[in-house]
Amino acid sequence: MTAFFCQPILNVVAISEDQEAMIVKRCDAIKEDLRTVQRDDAKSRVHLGTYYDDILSNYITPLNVRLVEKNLSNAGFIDNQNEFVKTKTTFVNDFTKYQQMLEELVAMDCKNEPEKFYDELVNVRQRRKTMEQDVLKMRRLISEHISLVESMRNKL
Amino acid sequence: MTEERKRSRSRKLTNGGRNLVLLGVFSTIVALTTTGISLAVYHNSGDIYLDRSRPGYLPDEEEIESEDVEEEEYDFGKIETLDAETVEVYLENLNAEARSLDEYSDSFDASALSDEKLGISE
Repeated sequence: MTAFFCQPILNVVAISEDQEAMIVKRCDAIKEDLRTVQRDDAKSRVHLGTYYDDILSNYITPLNVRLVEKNLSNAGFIDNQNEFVKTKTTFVNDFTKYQQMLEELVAMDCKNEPEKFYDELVNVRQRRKTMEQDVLKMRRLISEHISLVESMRNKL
Repeated sequence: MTEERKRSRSRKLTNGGRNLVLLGVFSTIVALTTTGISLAVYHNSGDIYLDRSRPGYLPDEEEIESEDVEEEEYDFGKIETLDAETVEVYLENLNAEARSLDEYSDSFDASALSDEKLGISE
């Protein structure tokens, strides 16, 4: 019960009058900054996606196939690969959602609706946080795979 | 008889012209519809966000230069054996990939959209 009432309420962010005034004043500059973030993110997404695809198709999948053929595979390798594929799909979908939200934010009228603009900015930040977590999870899964291979190497 | 033939020919020409206009209108509607559907799919699938041929999203000069340098890609699928040596090479290459990946580890950090960065902090 207490936990229910302690849940953070999304989208309700206190914005000061100063901040509101700054959003109105710097509206065009903020939008330009957001467009730059959009471009940089697209670049990162393409590079990260290429690395993930490469690691999955040139390393993880062929190694697991070979391990199965040689009866050296174990649940750890299979689970790791499944989780990798699942998280990669999540990463791709989260990025699309994030970019759509960012695009909507850039299209908003920050001069006349600064408060609404700020609320949406907070939502985009949360979505960006999800992206950051996806990237960290992918890296963790690669490290896990490396550890599994190192353990397996000692048994060869 | 000749008069009747002339009128018939004129009617045919009129119908032909009208049909040509209808064909043009129909073709335009089909083209606009299919283009609209394609653009909707392009946008909703998220491909638009990965399309770096868009103005403002073109690769930097550095990226183009690094792409020009062709390196043979490691692919474990092409290696026949599985012994300590091949696993060692595998790990070496994979660790190199992981290090390259680490350059993008802070790609989506919070600072890019912070109040300070956007100039709206108190």
